[in-house]
Amino acid sequence: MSASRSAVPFTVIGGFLGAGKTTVINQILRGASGERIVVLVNDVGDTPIDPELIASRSADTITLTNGCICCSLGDEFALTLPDLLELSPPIDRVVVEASGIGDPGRIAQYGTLPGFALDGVIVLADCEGIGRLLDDGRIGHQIADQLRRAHVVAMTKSDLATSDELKRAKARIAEVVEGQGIPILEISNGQIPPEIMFGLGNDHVSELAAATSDSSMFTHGIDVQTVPVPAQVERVLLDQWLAALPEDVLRVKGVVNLADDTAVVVQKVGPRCRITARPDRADEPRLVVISITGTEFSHPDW
Amino acid sequence: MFDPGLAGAFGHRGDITIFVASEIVTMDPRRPSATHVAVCEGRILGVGPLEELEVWGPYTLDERFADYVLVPGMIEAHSHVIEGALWERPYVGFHPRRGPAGQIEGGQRSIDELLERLHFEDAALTDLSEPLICWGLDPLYFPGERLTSAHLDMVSSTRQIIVLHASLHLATVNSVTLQANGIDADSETEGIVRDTNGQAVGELQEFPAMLTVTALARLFRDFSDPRHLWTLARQGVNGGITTVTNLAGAEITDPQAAAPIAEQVADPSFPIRLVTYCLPGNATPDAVAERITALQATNTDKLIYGGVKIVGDGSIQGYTAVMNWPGYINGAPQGLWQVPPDRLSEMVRNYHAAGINLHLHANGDATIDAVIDAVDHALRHHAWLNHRHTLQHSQITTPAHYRTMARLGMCANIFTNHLWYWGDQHYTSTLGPDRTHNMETCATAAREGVRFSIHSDAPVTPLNQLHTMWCATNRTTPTGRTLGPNETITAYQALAAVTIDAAYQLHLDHKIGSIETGKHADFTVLTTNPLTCDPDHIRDISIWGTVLNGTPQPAN
Ligand SMILES: [Zn+2]
Repeated sequence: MSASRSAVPFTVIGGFLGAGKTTVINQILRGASGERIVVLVNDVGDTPIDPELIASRSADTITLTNGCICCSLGDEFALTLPDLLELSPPIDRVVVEASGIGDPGRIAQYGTLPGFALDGVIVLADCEGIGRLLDDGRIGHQIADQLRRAHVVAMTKSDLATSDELKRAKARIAEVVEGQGIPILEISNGQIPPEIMFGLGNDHVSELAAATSDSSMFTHGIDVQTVPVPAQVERVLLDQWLAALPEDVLRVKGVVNLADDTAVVVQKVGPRCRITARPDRADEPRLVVISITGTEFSHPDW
Repeated sequence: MFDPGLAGAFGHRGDITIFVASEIVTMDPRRPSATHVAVCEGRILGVGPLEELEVWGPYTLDERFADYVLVPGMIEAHSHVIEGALWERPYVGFHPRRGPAGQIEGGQRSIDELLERLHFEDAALTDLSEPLICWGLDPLYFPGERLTSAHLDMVSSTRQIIVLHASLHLATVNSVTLQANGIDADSETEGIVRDTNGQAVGELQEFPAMLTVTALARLFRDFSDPRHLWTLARQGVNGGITTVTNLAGAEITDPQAAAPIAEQVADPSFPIRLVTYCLPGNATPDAVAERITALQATNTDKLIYGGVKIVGDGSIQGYTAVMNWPGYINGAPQGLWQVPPDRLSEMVRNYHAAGINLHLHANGDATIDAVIDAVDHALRHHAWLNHRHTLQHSQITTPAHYRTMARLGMCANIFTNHLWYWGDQHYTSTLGPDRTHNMETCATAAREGVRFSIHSDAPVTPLNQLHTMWCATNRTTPTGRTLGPNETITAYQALAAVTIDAAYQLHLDHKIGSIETGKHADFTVLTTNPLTCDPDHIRDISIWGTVLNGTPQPAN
């Protein structure tokens, strides 16, 4: 890895068998739009990829026409992860599919190793099946643990469920993750809005901010709002405001100049919040808040 | 007309060697004991008194074992190649172990003794930049005090010092290691243990945290290097073993792994038979079946692909074995499935239908239920009666389980070494007294009609079947407890478990496991007959070495 290169964002997609991980992965690969994404799946042979996207395939790797790569995550996955940083052309992003019974939070830890930056753990839950899974005396506790390890829970196949079913499923999930600040999002056709799926890497805070006036840019059901930020902010006020945000805030990203003449980058996904130092002060400090439509939060009074 | 093929099959052509021993324990009930065994072309040509063997013609009488006892070559039906990889590094565990060169290592019984040993190993390493990596620490034996970087800093402030724990799930490192790898208050990876001020104290728990140390990442990657097979084989010979297993083969998930292994084992001087069960990874059952069948087509006498290993859950001492009511005595959660039970059932059914022998790791009773149900279900669909699917570890299997297993034709491989190595800890901390008495119930398996083997799971415990037999016949712990005295088995049962019955569950009982005509000439050479000595002393019997395919292999 060259020293100049920034860490590769690392996203984990979790959820039990049948939760819709393959559909989500296909959507990610299809929507890569110029990014070279490596998707590590449980088994390439068992992952149907849109045939028109496939440039070439071997037993454990599929190369896509858009430069993305989909490969099987072997038993030695964690050990061979650094090899991804040596690929040429360099990759922009890694997405890992957790196994159906695996702990997505555990896999996410590999995203904290040198060369990578953990960008989020999205755990999928099938609206129709999640209640039954949570009630299963044998594996229910492990399914609940998976949900608790999420930064965002995405309820899949929401278009196939009645509004009653949807409500029930959401209540079950909310009960499991209660008090952990994990937002629960409804999706259909495996479409997780890219601004939620990916926070790091595409430094598009300003783009997002500019686009907030044009709501058609964003997925139905998602609000993107720019929060005004003064020329400088007390760190303690920033921390307090972030901590007080409601659970339905999916992501916050932005740059803030602090009162002590330093500047920070803010990255929040669900309950996970990272505030890291930035070498220089930002010309246009701002915070963008992405939330489930209708979420109300207080703007900071700084 | 002369047919060389037929001659090879039916006539003997090679030189005949007749070994004489003070006693030959055959484990063939038709002739339990003998004085001579004739060997030709690596196989047993005959067993009996010398005059009965002379009918085969000219022979050489080999008297080197005249004062020794021969038993069938012992079989370790659950071990791992990592045993070989680890022995390239100093072993610093609580219980002493014999290393590949025959040296006794370990026995560090306090943190002070550990540090003294590390000082010595540090001084012995000439390359100053090379990290010192040791293995085998079991903190359960140092209650009250936890090893930290502060201790290890006393060993070196210039070299990286890394101590891997016996479980291989943890490591403790010194401050040089923390600094060299940028592990500080800002490190995010879970499992980096910290003090109340948020400073890392040197303990790294679980794989992600250990991988923050480059030297460990490199070590783990090297584990699969086929050169380690030689150390494993050496360890096997020293432990009197002629057939060793690798119960987590990577040759399905990594097809490139097979060729270098085959090359090593084919070397005529490679001193052990290797049976491998591969992990299926996440590939579809069809792909796995196709791959294992292709590997089996390459089987030789010395390298045998037995089938597929499936890991159902974790371990009891790690609180990850999946438990039924009432669970762990400390109220720990019920455990972690490695494969969801429904998927386990689907895998078993598919592999069973393809005629693949399965070895199924199940420690908790909920997992044992799931495995037995899965085999039951598979048999309703496919009437393969000779499957010999084996429940691996089988630590808290109940009489009801064993009754069903017997009906289903299943085998067990029981982890008797736990009685000695963790029996006291299970008694006080995991299962509590009454269920610890009921762990590793070999007598129940025998009574209910299940053929079983007993194992070390090396490198988890030492590769030495005499020690494993001793655990099964005595059931004692280091603090002097006898666990479940009704579950002790006889020396004969224990010897059967590490010979003919181990061979049975590997589908190899027609080739190895007893001393009878036609089988491979595999013997374990001992100073004392384990069937007639005081069972208390079985583990103290000296091992001369082994004979593999008729060739003597002295221990170091
Ligand atoms: Zn094992």
